[in-house]
Amino acid sequence: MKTAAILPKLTLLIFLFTAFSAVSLHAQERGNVSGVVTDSANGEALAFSSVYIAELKRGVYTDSRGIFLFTGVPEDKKLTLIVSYVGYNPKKVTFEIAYRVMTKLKIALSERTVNIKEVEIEGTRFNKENETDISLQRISSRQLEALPQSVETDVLRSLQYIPGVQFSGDASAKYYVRGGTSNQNLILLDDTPVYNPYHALGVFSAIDPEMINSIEFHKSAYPAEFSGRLSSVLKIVTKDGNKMKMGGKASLSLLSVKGLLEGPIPYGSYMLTARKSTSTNILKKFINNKNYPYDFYDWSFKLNYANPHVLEDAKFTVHGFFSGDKLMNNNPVKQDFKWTNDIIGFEYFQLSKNPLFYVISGNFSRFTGEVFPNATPTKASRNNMNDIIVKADFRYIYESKDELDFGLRIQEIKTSLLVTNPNGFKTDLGSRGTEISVFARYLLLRLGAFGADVGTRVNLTRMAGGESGFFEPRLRFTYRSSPQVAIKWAWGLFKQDLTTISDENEAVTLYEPWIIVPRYLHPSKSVHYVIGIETEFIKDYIFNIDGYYKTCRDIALLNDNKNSANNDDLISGSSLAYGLEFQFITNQNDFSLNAAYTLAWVTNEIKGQKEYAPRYDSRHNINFTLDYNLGDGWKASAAWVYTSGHPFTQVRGYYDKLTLDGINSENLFLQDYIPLILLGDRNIARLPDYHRLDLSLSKQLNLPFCKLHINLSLVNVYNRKNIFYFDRKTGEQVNMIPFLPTASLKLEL
Amino acid sequence: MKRMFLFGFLICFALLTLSCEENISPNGKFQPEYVLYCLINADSTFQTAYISSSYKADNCDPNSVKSDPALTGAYVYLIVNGHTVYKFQEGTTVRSDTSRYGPTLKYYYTDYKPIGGDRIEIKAALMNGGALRSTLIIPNISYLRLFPVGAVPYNPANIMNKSLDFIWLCDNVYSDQDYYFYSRLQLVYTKDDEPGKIIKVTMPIYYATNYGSLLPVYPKLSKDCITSYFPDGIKNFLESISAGDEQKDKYTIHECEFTLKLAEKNLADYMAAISDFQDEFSIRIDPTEWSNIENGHGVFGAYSVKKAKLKIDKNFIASLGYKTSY
Repeated sequence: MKTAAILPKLTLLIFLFTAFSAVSLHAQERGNVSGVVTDSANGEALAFSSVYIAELKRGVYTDSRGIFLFTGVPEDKKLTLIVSYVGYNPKKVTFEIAYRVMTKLKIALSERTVNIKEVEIEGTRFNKENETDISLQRISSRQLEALPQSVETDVLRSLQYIPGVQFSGDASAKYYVRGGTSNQNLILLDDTPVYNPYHALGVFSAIDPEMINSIEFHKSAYPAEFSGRLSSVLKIVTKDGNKMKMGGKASLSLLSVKGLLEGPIPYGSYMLTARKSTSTNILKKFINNKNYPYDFYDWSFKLNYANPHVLEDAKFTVHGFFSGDKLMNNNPVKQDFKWTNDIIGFEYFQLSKNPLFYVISGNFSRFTGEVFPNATPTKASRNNMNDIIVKADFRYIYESKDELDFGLRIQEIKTSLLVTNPNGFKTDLGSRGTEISVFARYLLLRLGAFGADVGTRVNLTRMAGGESGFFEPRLRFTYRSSPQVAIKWAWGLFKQDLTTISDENEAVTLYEPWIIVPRYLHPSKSVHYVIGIETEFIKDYIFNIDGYYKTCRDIALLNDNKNSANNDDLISGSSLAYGLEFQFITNQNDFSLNAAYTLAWVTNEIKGQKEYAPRYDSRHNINFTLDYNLGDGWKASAAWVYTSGHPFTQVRGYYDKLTLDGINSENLFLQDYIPLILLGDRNIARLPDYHRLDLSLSKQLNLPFCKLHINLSLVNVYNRKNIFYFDRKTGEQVNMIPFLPTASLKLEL
Repeated sequence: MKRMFLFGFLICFALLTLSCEENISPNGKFQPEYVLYCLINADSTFQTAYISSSYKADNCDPNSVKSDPALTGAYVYLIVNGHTVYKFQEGTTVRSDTSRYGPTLKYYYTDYKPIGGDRIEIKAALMNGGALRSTLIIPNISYLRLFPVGAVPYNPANIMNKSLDFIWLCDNVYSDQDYYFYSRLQLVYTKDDEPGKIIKVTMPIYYATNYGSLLPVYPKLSKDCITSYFPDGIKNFLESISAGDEQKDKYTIHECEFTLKLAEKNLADYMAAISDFQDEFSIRIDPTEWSNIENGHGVFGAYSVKKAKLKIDKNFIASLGYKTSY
């Protein structure tokens, strides 16, 4: 507890020291160079490409917009910039800069189409020096496509190959990061929160991978610019659309049909995607072989406008994402369900000559979930979640390479929800709240071997009202003791003001409404401690170890024991998670391999109840993914996942339960009994281990005027009978997905 | 190096995936536990209780267990307002469903006429030394009323009658919602060709349309203090009793019976806990359990029943070709 009290003050001290010390370095006589790296075929930004100045032996990675910036570059000297990106031909650019002038470069890389041995060019891969990127995974759209598909490429399911990420099984794309619950993960689509990122009962993710340019996944201890969740941040940046020519893609799989249209407009580009479910028969394979009258769609658009005659070095973007799911029985004695996401936003990005980046954005995200009970005992329910965020973020890069980020965010949330707990008590949990927060973050990068990221968020208000002035300090350090070894450490305090009404006893949940944590509870809080070591003793063979320790308290949980209107609807719980993660990565010319092992513990506690392991707790996790470029348009990939048994609650017997069906008869209770299970201590036993091998083979055919991609996947190749759950009524063991061959076709114009 | 990695990868998964299926028992260690059900009928002097023990099912199918878990030999008694004691005696009745257990249903009974506001405690001393206990307060049902509104006798053909509403009031209903209600309306009729046979059929509140066919929808267990029957539904229902029979005039319609059952707090909580709150697609792994029995399971609750009679307009009945007895 003492450490937790001292660290915020220490954060502030370090922040002030580093920020002030940076001022003295500001006035050196040097220039700057900035640029953008794009794909030569379509002008799409190549996020996370490496950019290296050979003469200075300095390298950076582009951001999610493909932008890079070097400050403090010596003037009047010819320099060579080497730009590279996996799967593209590296490029050398010679440039010269003048005193205090921002030299601008546009670098377009061409895709490497022929599988030849890459010529080693200095700088195509360089050590990241002191980048404070602990627990950060970056995934490009190419990497995403290379993974084996269950039915289609799936953004959220692809996360299961990352160490520290747990899944509860094949039937859900929900993920759990380092012991956190699924509602503690923030999913940002072009900086806008997505509240229901799933299709088809949570089996698939709603975000069509075709629209994705890049993904940044912060597993924990994320920097101060992010807020609102206790566990992780998944930042998805969509494509801008083809800036060179009009094009399109059309795909067909066993689940959906989808299309993408993109092309240039004057001073910009557009992109439009749409997807519609075709058949839900495939769902049966994922969930207990039952028919689901399911239907879903999603569509998105993005428009970019960057007219240098109007605003130099500025870009204006409008984006939208809309998804809807329906489960309609067309039967008045059965329930119907409906869910929608509506997201729309704009962004104004400006790069000034100082060099200062700033982004002003406004985003709106609405989630609606509705249960239509018709003539059934199910309770009618509707959840509306309206979230409006206006924010301004600034990034100033000092000549010393240091960075100062700061920003302001105003978030207004309105929810409405009528909820009925298992004991039949109804409550309207809807509310409205505003959160105003500011953040500042200083990245000390000038010291070469040592890097620090010191920042804090200050929440000036609380969503539910009441408490204010809550600090969320964040510290991230890196020390590179040698070119091959970097030691990284991070600590942070995180707060969450929103929660879902989730029932942990459900393996498949149809309806997870969002609400603001009510005022009678404290906001949920978490403290993360992470330490890691990153090594590259053999060139291009990276081995990382991360250890984490995470505490959460004041987690809002539905009060299952509410038996009176006077009882609170929500109660608070706490959790403790810790573990070790090992990851080995190699990206070679024609193959890449990712192998990971996680050793993890997580326990939850509710006041007055015994500690228990949540259903997603798994002690050992092993993941292998391998993709191989066989040449001539052929690619093969394999993924193997192993998870030691998830917890479950054992049956300690049965007794005959009065059903009260006889309430409509004269003898109220004497006759009507059915067996009820007596459960043992919660989640004290473990299911058998889960493991599954998926294989995939794809071929790209270059036809006149178009490309045809054919993908064949084999899911659960050796037909492992992984247990999904035990049916408590019959004792029957229900298994997860069996051996399943799938195929998809994609036509690219 | 590449081959080495590929080879290593293949070896690893081959070693670790030797087994494609593992069986596991979901059962933990069994220890007998005891169950008491006693629902006090506030309108009766005849009160019953049922005591049983828990059991195990090795094959995970509890329905396959055929030995009756009912326990006899227990000393069961009620203590009313802390001083008056009513001892239960053992009794038997015929079990209607003998698919699991034998035809004899063992239970306990006593004579006790509850009065609203009585604080009663039940105690059951078991043969093995175990003791089960619980308490409740008999609901004060003196304010329970039925109000059939609209025309009496009710005429579904009267356009002023949007619905036939049964409304009731009960103390505490609006203050803390501690009661649950279940209602039903039964039509009583006879047929000339089946003399002496009184037929009672439960009337649906309305008919739902399902692909052209009509599905009856009946009242559910609810905290609502109203049950509404809709004219179209009443008409459809009345027509349905003679569907396919050309001889309408052999049907004689008697008064309808409206029955309302009220469950007090403990029973209401229990009913709420066992109600079907789930949709058919969610997969809930662990069921919820509610009990107010100390040292065991089950429920100690109370309920009350109110009845009312209702006549349907003679002319309307006649328009369907039926006769009336009133």
